[in-house]
Amino acid sequence: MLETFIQGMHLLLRWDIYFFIAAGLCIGMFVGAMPGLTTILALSVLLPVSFKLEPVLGIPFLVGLFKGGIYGGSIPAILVGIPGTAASIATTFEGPALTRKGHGRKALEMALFSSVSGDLISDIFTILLIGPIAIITLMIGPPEIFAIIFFSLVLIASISGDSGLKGAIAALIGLGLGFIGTDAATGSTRMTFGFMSLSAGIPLIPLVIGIFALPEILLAVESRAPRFVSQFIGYSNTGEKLRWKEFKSSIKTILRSTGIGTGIGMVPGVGQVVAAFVGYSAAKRASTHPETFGEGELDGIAAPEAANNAVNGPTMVPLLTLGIPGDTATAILLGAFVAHGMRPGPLIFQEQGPLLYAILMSMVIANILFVFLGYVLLKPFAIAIQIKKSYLIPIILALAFVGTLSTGDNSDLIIMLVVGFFAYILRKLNFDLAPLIIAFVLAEPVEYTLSQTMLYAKGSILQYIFVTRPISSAFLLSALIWILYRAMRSFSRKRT
Amino acid sequence: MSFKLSSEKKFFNFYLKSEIAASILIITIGACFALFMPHMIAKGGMVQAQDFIRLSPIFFPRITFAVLSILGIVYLIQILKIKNEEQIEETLSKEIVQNVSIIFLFVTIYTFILPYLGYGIASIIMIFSLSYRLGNRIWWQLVLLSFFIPLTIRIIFERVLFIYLPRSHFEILGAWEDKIVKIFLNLFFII
Amino acid sequence: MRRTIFALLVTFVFLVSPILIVDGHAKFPNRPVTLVLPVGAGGSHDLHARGITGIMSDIIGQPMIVKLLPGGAGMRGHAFVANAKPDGYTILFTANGFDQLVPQTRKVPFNSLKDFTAIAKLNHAQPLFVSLSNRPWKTLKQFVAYAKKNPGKINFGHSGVWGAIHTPAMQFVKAAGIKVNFIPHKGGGPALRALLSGQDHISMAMPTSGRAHVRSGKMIALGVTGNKRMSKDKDFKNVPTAAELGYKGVSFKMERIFMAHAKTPPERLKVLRDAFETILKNKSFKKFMRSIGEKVQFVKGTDYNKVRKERYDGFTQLIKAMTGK
Repeated sequence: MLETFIQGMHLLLRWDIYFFIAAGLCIGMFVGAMPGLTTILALSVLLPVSFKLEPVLGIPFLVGLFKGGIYGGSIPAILVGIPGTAASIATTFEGPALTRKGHGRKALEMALFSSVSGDLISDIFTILLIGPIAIITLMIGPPEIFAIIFFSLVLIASISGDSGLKGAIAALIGLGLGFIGTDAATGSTRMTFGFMSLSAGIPLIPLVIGIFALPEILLAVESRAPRFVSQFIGYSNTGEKLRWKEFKSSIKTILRSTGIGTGIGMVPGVGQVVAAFVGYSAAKRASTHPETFGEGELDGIAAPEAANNAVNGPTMVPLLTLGIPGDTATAILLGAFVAHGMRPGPLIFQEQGPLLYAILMSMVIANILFVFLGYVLLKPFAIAIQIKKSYLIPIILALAFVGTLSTGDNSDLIIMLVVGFFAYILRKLNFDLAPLIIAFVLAEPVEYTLSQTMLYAKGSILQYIFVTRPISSAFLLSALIWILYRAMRSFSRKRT
Repeated sequence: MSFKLSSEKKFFNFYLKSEIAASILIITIGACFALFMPHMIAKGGMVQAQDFIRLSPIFFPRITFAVLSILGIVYLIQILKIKNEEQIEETLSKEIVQNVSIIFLFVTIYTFILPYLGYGIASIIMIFSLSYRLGNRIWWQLVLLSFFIPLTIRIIFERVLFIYLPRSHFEILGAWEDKIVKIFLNLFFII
Repeated sequence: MRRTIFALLVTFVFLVSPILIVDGHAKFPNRPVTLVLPVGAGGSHDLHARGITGIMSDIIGQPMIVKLLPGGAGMRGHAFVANAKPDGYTILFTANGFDQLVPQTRKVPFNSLKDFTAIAKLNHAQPLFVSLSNRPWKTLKQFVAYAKKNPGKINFGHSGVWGAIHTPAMQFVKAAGIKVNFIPHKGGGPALRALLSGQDHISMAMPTSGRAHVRSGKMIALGVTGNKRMSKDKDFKNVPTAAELGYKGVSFKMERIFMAHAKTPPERLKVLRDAFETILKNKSFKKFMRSIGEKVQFVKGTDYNKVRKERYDGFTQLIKAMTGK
């Protein structure tokens, strides 16, 4: 095995690979930074481009695209509170606050370094332990997914502290919205009121743009101030850079988030959005100063960014070892592999070992490259935010519309508008929209996995879960114990 | 359980009124959806797809909306119990609503004219009017901005990323847009 | 003031001039053609489309762009094309299930047979019945015997209600007279995964996705749908058809078809149909299809239209039989 590894490394001794990885990273970052453009879109559109290249160039190109995209989404999330990709939603909790204080650049750099660290660690971990991970992923079935999602929900809810009632209402609204569409278990369509465009459910992109972009634009026009940022810092000075000390204090958070992200990466169907939320929640819980979260806390940037990037490593495992993609992005990658004549699956290590190792290593290399590339590319963005609102807002709006239009049709615009209107109102009434989004994203998986679990259980659910599926039981029990503990605590507090 | 209205003022400020309106909306929608859920399900799937114990597609949504309704009621009660109006942060006021509504109107109009005029032309109009409304009065900047932004966007997305943006419903406008884009591309390559 | 008027005049002339460059009556297509896919990114459909549109663009002289419109079991994409202007610039790349079966299971704002006409059929895939090799049955007949002894205990995983696995699976259980526990998954990938992890006892897979696992010995192919074996396939040529084994009516194949609006002007329809016949001879196309491991079993649009109605009615029967109970 070692010699195939070395052979693989040999394949990497050519400069054009690095060029293509860099190209992918740049395009990915750009696409990620546009709210509404997803990396999935870019991946599928540029897939034919990668066909024309050799596999050792084409696939790392796509990988670069993918990684650039995940980071790219944090840029508008931090600067204007509009996540460029769904995975960066959790970054909007701390990002805009930091930007308003003039620390936009610090936040961007923290996001960059956390993303890269999380990704790097997760990739190395995946490469080294690909075998055991493959076995673990196979052991994860609907009961496990359900239990893990449930556990995550409990964790996330536990930090919504004071929003109590409003948080719950938001979550239920999100849940309700999530149920619109086709019920995957029986195939019947629900709550679509005859609108074809809703038959797939509310598409994520118009939702995200509606919930984030539109209210931000509306909020921005409320005040008469000509710029987003409170002081015009000047084109030559984009704010302070991140200090090493500041980064060091977040290392524990980054490691924790990486662990969370990697774990979630092994569970199919959960994804980066949830990982980011869980990472953030865990960081807030573990923090010695949770009050600063929400007011502009760098730790709160490091956590979601590291987590959402760390998901990537293990997600590749079912793809590579079984030829089964875990999510849409890996599905597209699978297409790329196949079109290049590689057959991911049980035989790939034997048939095309060196090439595969080369590709795996290119993932690691992409991360290293990205640190330098991203750092350099940050500056223009940090400057751009300081443009006057009267220029910036129409541009943002035009781009937001492009984002929605690129992945759907005109009716998605109306969805975006309606969602945006209500989202703005909810925000003004001091509802926290984060529970809404997370509930929306998880509505379908939760119901779906529960249905499947019940089907597998054939009637005797409790026995099925607790007797035959230990992993799932572990998570469920922990979640339940946690809930009880919290309930008792708040009860006893009320007494005294 | 009794609730008192705030003793001095008999009517609430704008913000609280909106909260009340919102809570009532939540209660009604929640209740309606919960009750009428079976009607909202189009017959499409095969219920027999699951032979054994199954979660009917009505179950989860119904519970969700029912609980939502109940929470709406709790919310309303919470609002009515407020005695110190001054302590509530007023994030909504008539002026804000006016300001924002106008901008929202702009966005809505943009959405609706877009299918007819195509992305390019609709965006030109939107950028011009929005920028103007937001305070930009410098004539040449307005024109330049509203013309070049959609153009650049179109070029980047259509030529580099191969993502096509909607064309006008009216063929003639669509063709015109294409021509302008082509002219600029040629100019660009000549320079 | 005069300068402003002058500037305005120049701008006006500049903007109006393109209209004056009259096109004349340009041939079809003179702008990009949109290929709508009623499925999500990443599946085999998407993959086919990405490769084909690139080559097709050279043949028809204009870009052919892929537009993914998943949702509503494919009906969203179909509805979009049915509602689009029937000018030949919006066409559909879909599968027979979406065209002939699904519209009968739910309310849709179009009539499949009347509103769509076939441009061409590209190829088909015959799903295989698959199981892990460590199960107590090694042939389809043994499986049926086992299922009869354990009614309702077998987990039969599929990719979605009325999907490319579910439909033949239903045909099969009806013909074999067994009762199984159908487990829906979100697509072929998850279904295969559930099978490989041991959760599902039996499922179905397309040759391309199942190949590697059968070759590695982890999975066995118990049978194949359709009337003929896959005799040209080196891995699956010995897999018997369900019909051979006595289970009649398990005929579902997934056929990949290109459709256009029925009201498309005939000359434009002909251009599209001819383009698809031309592409078959294209070298890059053949290379692409080989590299993704798919064969081409071309059927002309006009010929395919003839079988559509028959298939459609066949599905009506199936639906009645499976839901009438």
